[in-house]
Amino acid sequence: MTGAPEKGRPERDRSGISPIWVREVLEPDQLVGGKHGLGRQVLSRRAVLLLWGLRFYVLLMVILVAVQAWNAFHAAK
Amino acid sequence: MDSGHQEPFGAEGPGLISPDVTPEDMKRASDRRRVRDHREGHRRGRSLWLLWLLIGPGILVMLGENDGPSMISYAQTGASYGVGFFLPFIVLTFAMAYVVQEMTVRLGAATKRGHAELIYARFGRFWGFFAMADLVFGNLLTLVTEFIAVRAGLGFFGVPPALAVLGAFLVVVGVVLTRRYWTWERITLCFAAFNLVFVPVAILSHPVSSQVVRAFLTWGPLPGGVNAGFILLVMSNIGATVTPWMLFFQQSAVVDKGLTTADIGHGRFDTALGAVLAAVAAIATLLATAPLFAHHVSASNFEGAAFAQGLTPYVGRVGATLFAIGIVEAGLVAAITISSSSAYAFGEVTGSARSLNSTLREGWPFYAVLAAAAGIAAALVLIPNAPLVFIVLIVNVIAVLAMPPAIVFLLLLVNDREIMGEHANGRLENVLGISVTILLVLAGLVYGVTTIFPHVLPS
Repeated sequence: MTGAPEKGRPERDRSGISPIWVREVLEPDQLVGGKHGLGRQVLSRRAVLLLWGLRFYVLLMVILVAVQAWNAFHAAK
Repeated sequence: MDSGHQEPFGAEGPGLISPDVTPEDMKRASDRRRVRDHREGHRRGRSLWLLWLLIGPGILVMLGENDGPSMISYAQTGASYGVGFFLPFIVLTFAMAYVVQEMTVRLGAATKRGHAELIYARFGRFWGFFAMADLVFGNLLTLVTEFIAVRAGLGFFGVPPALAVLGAFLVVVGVVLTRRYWTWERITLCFAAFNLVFVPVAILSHPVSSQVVRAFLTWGPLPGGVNAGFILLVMSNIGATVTPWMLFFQQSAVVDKGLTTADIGHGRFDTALGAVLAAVAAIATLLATAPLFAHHVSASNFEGAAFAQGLTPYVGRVGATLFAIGIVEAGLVAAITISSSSAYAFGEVTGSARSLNSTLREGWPFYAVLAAAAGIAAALVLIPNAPLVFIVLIVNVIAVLAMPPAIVFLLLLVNDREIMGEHANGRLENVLGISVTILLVLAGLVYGVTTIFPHVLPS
């Protein structure tokens, strides 16, 4: 979902807050429409290895959880 | 897909709303205006009022971690081991939790992005969706245990299960329908304050002060000594010190609240205060049930209401009532914060609304996920013959096994100078952070593996 702009009557702020004032109070990155793309992190060799290790860990984790689910299923019966 | 860019409303008519300012922005700006006014003003009591404005996410995450199963766990520890080793141990676990959670404050304040959004943006689609799916699934199971706690606690007062669970669900949904982060936060803080009802229960149990002091000074006694059961309990407690939802929730709440780098000091205080309050409540719970140990009452099969009933001879009807209220609060606040963390993560990864300041029209996916998470969990608790025992048996294992990826990403992100700037981890923060991470991961793995393969540990 991209949250595309809604058509139709705009929501009116009852307190009459000015959008200019909003932009003064909030930092640019705090505005919903103000966030800029961060881009991918440039990873060091160590970080790349760590992430590969995490991938294997996730695989192991799924197996372990499946085993535990099996054990728990039989324990709960 | 970019890192979660949500388009604002289109503008029509003369300019109350410009194309790049949304109702969410206006609500957040209103909150930030008060912070700015008190920061710049010269009124008496300005510092205290500023603190009041800025606290919230840290207290909520720490008291939310004192959820239903956790309070029962502390109660069982008190009933099994009495006043001794676990008193200072609880303090240590919350100190470790502070080290981890403080990093989420800096991450949120410096980047203005939630945890799931950062993982998606910096590490790619696979890890972003994995983090979100892993969290939402684990949270769903945890939410079941929270509604079980609410049902058990209200059962002490004779409230039918269906009414108890439905009431809790309506509270969870009702507080978010304020569509105002500030209001949601303050209401939830009011609920969370009831975590401290365990303190009067502890007082009513008449603990011996010298025993309490001795426990903190000597980390003893330890009835039964160091055995497999003790090691497993310590490992499970360390492994469960920080759970994935805490990382995601606090960072997202910091962003939703609008904290900036100027507020990091207050954010740290908020987190530390939360850790202290939660530790006090946990220790109080242990002390409250210590009479069961002293009187050789077996509490191994006790659950929420059974503990309250079992404690009545030692803390009186008032104490037992307060204990039951505490269990209800523990489940309810955790249900509120955990369901919010699921909604935050979903919004951040899918690029849709991710704020409790969202209007219903622009934020309906966010509110739908939150309500669905709580609703499915509540329904599971009420369905006859639902596999609740099954869920309780696997939820802890999933929580500890899901922790390593979450905390590794936390460390990678908080050391990323490109997004953190001067607020990246320094040497001391890395020493503490990495040490705690290694301890949490190893303890969690030991607990997880020995739970799945119990014969690994010698008897």
